Amino acid sequence: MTSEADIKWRIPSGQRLVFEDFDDGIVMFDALFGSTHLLNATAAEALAIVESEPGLDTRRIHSRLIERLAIEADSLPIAAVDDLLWRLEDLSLVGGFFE
Amino acid sequence: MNAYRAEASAPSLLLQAAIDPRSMRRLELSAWEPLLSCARRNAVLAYLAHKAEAADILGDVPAAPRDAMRAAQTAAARLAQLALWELDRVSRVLLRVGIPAIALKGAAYLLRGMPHAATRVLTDVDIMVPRERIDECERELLAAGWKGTKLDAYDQQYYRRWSHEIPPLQYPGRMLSIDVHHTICPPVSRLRPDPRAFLFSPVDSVLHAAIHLFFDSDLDGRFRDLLDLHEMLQTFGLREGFWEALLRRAKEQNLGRPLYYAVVTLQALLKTGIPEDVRRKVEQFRPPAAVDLWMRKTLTTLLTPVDPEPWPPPNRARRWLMFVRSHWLRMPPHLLIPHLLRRSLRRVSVEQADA
Amino acid sequence: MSVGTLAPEVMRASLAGAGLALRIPPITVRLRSPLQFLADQIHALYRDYDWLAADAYADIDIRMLPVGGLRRWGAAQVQFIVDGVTPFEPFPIRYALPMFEWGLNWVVSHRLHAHLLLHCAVVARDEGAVLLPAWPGSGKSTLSAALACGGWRFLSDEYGLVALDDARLMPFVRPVALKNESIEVMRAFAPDAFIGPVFPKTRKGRVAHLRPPKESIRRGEQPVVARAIVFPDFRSGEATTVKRVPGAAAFLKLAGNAFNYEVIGEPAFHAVAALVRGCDVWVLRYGDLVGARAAIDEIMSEAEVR
Repeated sequence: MTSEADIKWRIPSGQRLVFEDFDDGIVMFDALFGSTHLLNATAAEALAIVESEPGLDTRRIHSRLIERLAIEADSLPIAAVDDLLWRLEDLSLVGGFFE
Repeated sequence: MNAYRAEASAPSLLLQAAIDPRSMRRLELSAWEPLLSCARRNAVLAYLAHKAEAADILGDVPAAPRDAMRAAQTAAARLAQLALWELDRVSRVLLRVGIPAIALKGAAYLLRGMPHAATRVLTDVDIMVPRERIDECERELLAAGWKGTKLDAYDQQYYRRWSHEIPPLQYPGRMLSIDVHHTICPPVSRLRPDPRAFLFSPVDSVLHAAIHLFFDSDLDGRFRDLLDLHEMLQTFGLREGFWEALLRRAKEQNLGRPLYYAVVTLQALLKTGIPEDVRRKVEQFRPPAAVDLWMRKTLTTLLTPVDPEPWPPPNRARRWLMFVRSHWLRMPPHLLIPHLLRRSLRRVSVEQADA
Repeated sequence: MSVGTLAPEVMRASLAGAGLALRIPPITVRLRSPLQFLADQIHALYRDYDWLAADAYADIDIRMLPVGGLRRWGAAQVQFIVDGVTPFEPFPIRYALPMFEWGLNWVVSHRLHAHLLLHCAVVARDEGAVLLPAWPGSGKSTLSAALACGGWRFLSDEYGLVALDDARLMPFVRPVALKNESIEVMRAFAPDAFIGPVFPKTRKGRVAHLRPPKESIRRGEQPVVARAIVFPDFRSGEATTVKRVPGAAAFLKLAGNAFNYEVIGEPAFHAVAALVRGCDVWVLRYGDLVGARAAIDEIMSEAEVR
């Protein structure tokens, strides 16, 4: 049996993300579908993590985020990361798969 | 009014360039303007750019027309990207409820990775679903945010009953609409799976395009559809056993006639590389001599690239006859006359409203 | 050779014949039309532009023809034909000039993808340019016309043509389409400027075209570097104030309002980023042209020392 906790994340094939950091947010270009998004730091980091390390599950992405954003673990609940990943999935910016 | 034009007509320049892209290197600067104008009129400028690029001569094209060709490629590539996005969105909805969708025409060429796919000026994305699930498919897409095109009751009924499709669906704010066709699908085993949609086999893709062009359209400005057939035959024709399979399937499905029209028209206009014995074998599908003569003349006339120069545009009578014919093939005669009458009346009332 | 050197009869005859190849850098537009009044209006408005030999290559081929067929018994109309296609419904014949101007803009927006086409006015001082992006009620056309008539070099009232390799701005000098009150505002502000006939009741209200300064047309092939982006915000009667706009917000405003940002994709993304990073970005709230001009002068002086 597989459950949602077993889902691994990666960037869809053919996808490439380009980031531009500004003081008031990060603008990102999705080279596969040609759309532009305004991201906060958490979303931009999550995408960068999935892109550089494909195949992580939500739990590990969560701990990487805590590390990279240098924040307290309880200030970013894992449910929020799960929700974020699914919102990115809905835009086909990341894809979930089972091994 | 056209004293400055090059001697050759714009359509013949375009045909020559499509048949032999390297011939573009010999063009005088003054011939580029009618060539590009004609390519735009027929929505094939990006295609022409792609051919020039593939022949490695785009660098030899003078700067201004080269910029124009690259710009057309850019615009067409964006439409291809939008089509893949639309398919991505649609397949999310349909996969969830398990409706199998087959990508057709432009979308299918893209998924198949055909070289000319990203040069087509797409306006919609065509998919085909099993007849018995068409209503469910429409309901699901409407529920997911697509909107039906506003049509009057008569057009609605026309679409549903005779056009093998439901009225186009459009997602607010997105450029490409989605055309859902419903007809009896071949068994799924014949199809090639793709994560986003199924695809016809090469043989079925060719036959589908041939039926669509020669039996189901008014042949108005369809040169680019002829180029699709040209590209498919050139690409698939290299595969082992393709031509035998094509002839066999055409015979078995009773689709020899559109295949015959495709072969003779491609041969006449684009000198498509179709093997001699295939050309001989399609003769068995030829219509009676008188019809054959009229159809061949009409098809080469109407499928030649439209010349942007003459105004108003000529060939209205032949186009009207082909428009009637495309409906004749679809509707029983007792309904056809009222339908065409309605169309004509509407045309007149539109003209009056404009005046 | 400039259009102004042609005798009016020659102008009419070439429009009615092989067409006039007008150089509107960075493009050449061929115009064919049997309408004599249109030839005369173009003659006046495009006086300082160059024309090329009839067999020159034109990027855009436009015909403005009176409508034939069924409609000929109604009021006279004109249609806009490009590459044998009529993208618009016909206009009443006396609106041929605004139709030509709009139609040409429409074609440019759909075709000139060698450049990122920002929706903004562009003016320059020395070698530095300021972009005035379009915003509902921004008054960018009037503001750019006022700056142009006040010694600034005019590049466009509608298009910022951004080169994709180095984000420099190419001029696209066109007659300025003045709307409604701005016609009178400009007549008062620059009494010597030539303004063509007023066309009442168009989609955008009253419209008249202002001939751009000769010097700006003459330098039509020379690109400039953008130094500042100023989002104009006209509020009648209010005092002039400026406020900085942060980078991501400026990026999205510029890209979201461009004509072909999405068509071009990644190179456009990089060009917008380069512009935003290379410019000071401001919102300028203004109630009158004199105050606005002073504020833009100051913004530019500050940007130039940066």
